[in-house]
Amino acid sequence: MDYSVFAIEVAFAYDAQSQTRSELRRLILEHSHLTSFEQKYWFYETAAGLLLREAPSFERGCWDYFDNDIALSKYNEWCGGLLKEEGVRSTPSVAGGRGPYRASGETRYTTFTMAFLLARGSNTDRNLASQCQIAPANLWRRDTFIFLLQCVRRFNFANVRSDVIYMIPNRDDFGFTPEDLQAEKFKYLRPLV
Amino acid sequence: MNEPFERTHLTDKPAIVGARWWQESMAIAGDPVARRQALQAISIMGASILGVGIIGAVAGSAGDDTRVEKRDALAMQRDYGWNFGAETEALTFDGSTYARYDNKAILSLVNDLTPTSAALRPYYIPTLFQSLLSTPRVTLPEATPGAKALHSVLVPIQTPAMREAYRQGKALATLFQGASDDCAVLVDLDGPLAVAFAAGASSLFEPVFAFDNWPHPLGVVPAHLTLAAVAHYQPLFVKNKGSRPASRVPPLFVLDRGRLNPYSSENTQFDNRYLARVPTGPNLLALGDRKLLYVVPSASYNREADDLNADFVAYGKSGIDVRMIAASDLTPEAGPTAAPPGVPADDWPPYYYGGSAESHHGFWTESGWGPPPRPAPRAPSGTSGLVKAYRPTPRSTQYNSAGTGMSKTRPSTMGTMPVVVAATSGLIVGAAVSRSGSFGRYSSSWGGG
Repeated sequence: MDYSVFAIEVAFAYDAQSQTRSELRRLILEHSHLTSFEQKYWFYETAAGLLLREAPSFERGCWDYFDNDIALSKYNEWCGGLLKEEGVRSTPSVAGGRGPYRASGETRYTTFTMAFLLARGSNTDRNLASQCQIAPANLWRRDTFIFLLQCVRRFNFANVRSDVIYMIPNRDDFGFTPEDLQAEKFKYLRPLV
Repeated sequence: MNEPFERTHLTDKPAIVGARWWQESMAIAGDPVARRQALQAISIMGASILGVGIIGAVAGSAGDDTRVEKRDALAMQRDYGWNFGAETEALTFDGSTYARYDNKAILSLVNDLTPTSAALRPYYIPTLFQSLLSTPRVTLPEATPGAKALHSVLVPIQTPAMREAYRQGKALATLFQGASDDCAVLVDLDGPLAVAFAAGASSLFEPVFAFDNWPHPLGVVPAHLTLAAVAHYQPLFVKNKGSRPASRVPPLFVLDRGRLNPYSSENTQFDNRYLARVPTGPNLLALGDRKLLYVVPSASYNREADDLNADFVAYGKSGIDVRMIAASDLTPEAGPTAAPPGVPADDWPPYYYGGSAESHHGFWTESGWGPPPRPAPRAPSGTSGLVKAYRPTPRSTQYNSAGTGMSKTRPSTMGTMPVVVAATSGLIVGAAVSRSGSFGRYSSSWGGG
């Protein structure tokens, strides 16, 4: 089968009072082992909607669309973030006993990623190919990410071979520090304007 | 199909939460290339199917279709070869250090490791050892010509960790030397270490292996390493088998802890997991065992494996006293590092419970199974305390409904593999396992479209 890949990742600061991360966490964990097209549609409708709540806070991001022979390998790279737990902190970024991290005055960041392996040439793929014709000057604009997340809400999941979704961190105390996001491995997350 | 997406991976850890799903039904039906290849295979398959005596109409028409189905992974290996679906992949024996090996002797492993005691034989599960003798029952049209027999690619291993486990096994044997013989041991370590531990203890105990899978190049359970460890210790097992006393010998059941390794992707992994099958409480009592010592790797493993909880709880109800010991509680005493003349290097230094000859038999006091067969002038120190603290308690696991004892049944989601099946005939066309290596998400440049 010929594939296309679409992936999007955003990084934003969070605080302990935010419900968004806990709702995203619950959404992922409660999504069924076996899933219908309709359930899958509502799953991403909800996930994208929750993320869009945080859109004003999007600080960094990355997105990909490829409709050539590297699509599958690109999709596997995105899956690597989950399967190999690339990028995650091995230890909490908040020392135990210090209370909510905000008390220390330090910002913590989360990343949220979704990627889709699509049947190349399917309706969803053709729509995406058109929607992803973004002018170079607009590639790293927050508005572009909002637009692309809206696109996810219109997917026909009969055209999707596989999907992966993950949030780093899961527990609040494993959040990324500003220094973490400066590391070489996060260079792909471009600052958004 | 109403629910075409199946979750193949779920992670819920402090640092990350996420999941991945696949729509398998899309794989073949929508794939003109795969379908074409499958149909070619079917049309060729007519002759080979007749050759193995399977009766059935072979779907050979161009209009036929295929589907992906899950089948029992071990049954597929028995039928199509130990490396079915990954014939071109090699086994890796990392960390192997080895000098001598008789690869003809390995073919007698099933017999060599059969317990001497007839009463123990029903609990011997030689599945892993049988893999060495297997030849595929069916040859698929696209099978790799001259695919190598498993015994010809096996490389015996002995790693530093195995040497340590061997000495820990020897320490256990010295602990039970002269003690009452109503205690069975259940070793539950990673395969090669479980084998090494059993080898060390085999001067006193009768090993009863329960390795219920076959190796596979993409196996989520690295059973080939277990087999490689057995190959190394085979001469010792044979020697000790002949030198143990003819009277009752306490059993040492040997499990591979890797049997429940996490399985996440049928695209990159082969599911050769299984559940431990062990004697029931009444079985143990009939064998004369009223105590069971469960060996785990370290203090981090402070409860039994999930697939043994129901068994252990049932043991308690049968009046069998279960204790747990961490292999890491058996450590060497500080002293000369070089083996004295006449002592084999593998046997040196000796290991003791609590790291001292003086504390060694303190195990009996800590376990409550005393009195010690030999004095223990010093109380063990620095041990995990598992011997004293552990008692099996019922808990909820994903294997609660699997049953207990030797008739345990694994969940339908365990030990299966995807195969391509001809829709009309139901005959298997090939494995649907494919290796999709990651290119390293952070290793390449990124663009926005």
